[in-house]
Amino acid sequence: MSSLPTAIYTSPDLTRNFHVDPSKSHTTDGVTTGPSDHVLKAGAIDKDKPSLIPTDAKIGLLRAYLTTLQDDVNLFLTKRMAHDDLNSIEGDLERRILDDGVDEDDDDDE
Amino acid sequence: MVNLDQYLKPNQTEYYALGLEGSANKLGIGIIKHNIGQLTTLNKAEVLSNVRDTYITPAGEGFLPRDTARHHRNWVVRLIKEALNEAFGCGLHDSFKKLDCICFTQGPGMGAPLQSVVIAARTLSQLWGIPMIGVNHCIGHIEMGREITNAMNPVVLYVSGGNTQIIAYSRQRYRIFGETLDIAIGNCLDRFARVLKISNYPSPGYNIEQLAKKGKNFIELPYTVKGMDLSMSGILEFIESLANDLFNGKKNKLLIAKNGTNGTNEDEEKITIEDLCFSLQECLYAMLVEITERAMAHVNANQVLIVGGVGCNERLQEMMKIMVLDRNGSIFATDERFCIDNGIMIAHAGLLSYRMGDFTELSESVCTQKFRTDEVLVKWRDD
Amino acid sequence: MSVEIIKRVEQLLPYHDLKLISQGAEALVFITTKHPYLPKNYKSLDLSTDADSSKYIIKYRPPKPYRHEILDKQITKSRTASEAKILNKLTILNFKTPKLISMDAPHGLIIMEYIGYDLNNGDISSLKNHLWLLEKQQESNNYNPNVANDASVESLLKMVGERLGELHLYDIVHGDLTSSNIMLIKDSESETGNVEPTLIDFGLSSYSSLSEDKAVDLYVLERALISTHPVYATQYNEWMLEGYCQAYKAQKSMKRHVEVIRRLEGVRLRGRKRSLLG
Repeated sequence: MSSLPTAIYTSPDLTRNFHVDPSKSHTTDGVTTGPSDHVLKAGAIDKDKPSLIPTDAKIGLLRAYLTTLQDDVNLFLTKRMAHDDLNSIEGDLERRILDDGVDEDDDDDE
Repeated sequence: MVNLDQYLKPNQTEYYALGLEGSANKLGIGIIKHNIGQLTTLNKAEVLSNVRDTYITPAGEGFLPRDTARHHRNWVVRLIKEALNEAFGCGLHDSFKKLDCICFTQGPGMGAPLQSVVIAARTLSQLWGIPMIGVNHCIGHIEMGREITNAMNPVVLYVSGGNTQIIAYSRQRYRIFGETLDIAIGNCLDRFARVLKISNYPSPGYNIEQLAKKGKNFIELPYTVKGMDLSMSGILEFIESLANDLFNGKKNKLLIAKNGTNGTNEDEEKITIEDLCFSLQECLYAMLVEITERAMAHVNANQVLIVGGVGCNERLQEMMKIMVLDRNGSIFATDERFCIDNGIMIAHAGLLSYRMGDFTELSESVCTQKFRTDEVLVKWRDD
Repeated sequence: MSVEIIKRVEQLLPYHDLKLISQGAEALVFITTKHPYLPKNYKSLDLSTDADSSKYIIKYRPPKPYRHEILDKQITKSRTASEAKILNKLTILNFKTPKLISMDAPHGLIIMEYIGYDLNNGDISSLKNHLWLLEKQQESNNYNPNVANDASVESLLKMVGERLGELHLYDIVHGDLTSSNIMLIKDSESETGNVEPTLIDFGLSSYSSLSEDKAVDLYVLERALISTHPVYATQYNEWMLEGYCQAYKAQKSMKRHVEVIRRLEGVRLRGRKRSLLG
């Protein structure tokens, strides 16, 4: 497994490439993959962090790289969405899919 | 008799399956062993390991897909390692070689949590070169219940946070005779627990049960059996509004117990939270027992098997037992290792399917939130 | 257990000879030869009835020990009273159903006229027993490969649909439709002694003009047929719905029919979707 994971975001006005820098340190406990705000506000104590037992397994390292990548992508997208019209339905899409469990393939509800 | 060993490999004398369950807030991993031949009382399936971790939210909160999926993602590797260690004792590098298949819950359930678990299944399947089997969650409960209790052909009451169904087997399918017309009973109890801000540990239903034991005044609630089906959203709405009035100190004549010991209002007793829990249980469970009895009468069955998380409830088991004994029948139930969502039931049902030659291709290993119990062809039975 | 229950009924109706003929989920059904309030030598002069006037049916809803006492009394009383009132209403409307003779709601008793006959295997002539008998014959008999699926079964199921349609046109929903609650009677007016269906067991019935409730009624019957008679259920349901449509046609109410069927499709869809966490 010599290649590193990458991600590409394309839109009519912008293309952005995401890379992982292997010389930096990475963790599986990402910045954007913590408990949701809702549950933290209700007073939850997080007991479900990823296991931080250090591992030199290739898969473990890959997961840490992907976590960093995911954080970068998430932060970028959040900034981008903040520029969009927040009242549009698309702006609410992420919340609807992640929190309400809306099955986007199913369009014949009510 | 169905031949369960048509696909036996040369020199093989036993089968081992790993099961992964995560359709709701419980992440369960189990490893099961079948010896070759028919499963009988003398040749039972063996539970080699059955581990579980539950995602619990603060009191008053329900569990959201996003956080539940995170819990499953972050616990799955640890739990699989624990299960393999418990089952085989040797290191990870050798234990996986014993497995015949990796079984996972394909549905029904919550989308994101199911996804977390299936990704683990796909990864291991490719890493270890072992086939996958997608399992219907309800079938998992039913087959594990039958195996543990030896119930031959019972009417099955499947009651949990996400499902409420009365099922009877006929011609290779588990057919749904009756079900909820709106919400599941576990969901009804969980939502009521949220209104009362009851703790979610170990589960909201368990805590309602403990409070109900201390209740004594019965309040009449809407009783909504419709033929073989039942509806619960009306009762929930009604009792939630009673609970709100109770908390806000609002005057509500329903909140005063009818004692009438000496015909005057002097000994007016106020309804308590314990009384509300008690009445809710009595009403909901009476409805479940009634539709179970109807199904028994309709198919001439005299055995009842209760499966699913709500099946742990002692009062439900007690009421069902009274009804079943009245009909000269027998009742079967499992303990919390098996009635609460677990991985071993997925391993068991998956292995039965695998022994009949089924497996799930990577491209078909998509999870589905909606998966009816009667969609599954029960190849391993021919009665 | 039923010995105790029989004793209880004998206490409530002390002068009746009682023979238990069926023990359903909710109620026990007895036959008696004694009319509850008419003199012993009374012979029925009511020629418009298809019923056998030498015997009567006693339907008894016993207390259910698993239920809380208050809940139990309330359910027994309301279901008995509701069933009796609807039976009475249907008789006035000339709808084919057993005629009500007497009732004691708090004790869960209803006395009505006797309908039905004994099938070849001695079972009572419910649609369920009749179809099961035919299915057994079909499986064992190579000469009659279609006996559970032929013209007489077709006409029977169409009549079931028609009866249901008529009931719904009166704005009454049955609430508990299964093939056990459809009783076959021999049509005494016909020369060939044709068999026709009647609806019984109105304990969960209610008045409703909502298409949604009628659709749920149909859906319950559809599913009951699928689970109890899986081999030919699709065909049975098709015939049943044809008959249902006929009933509306005959009363020139096709608009209402369209609405109920539309609702039925919605109810079926909800059923298919229902395996989600709520």
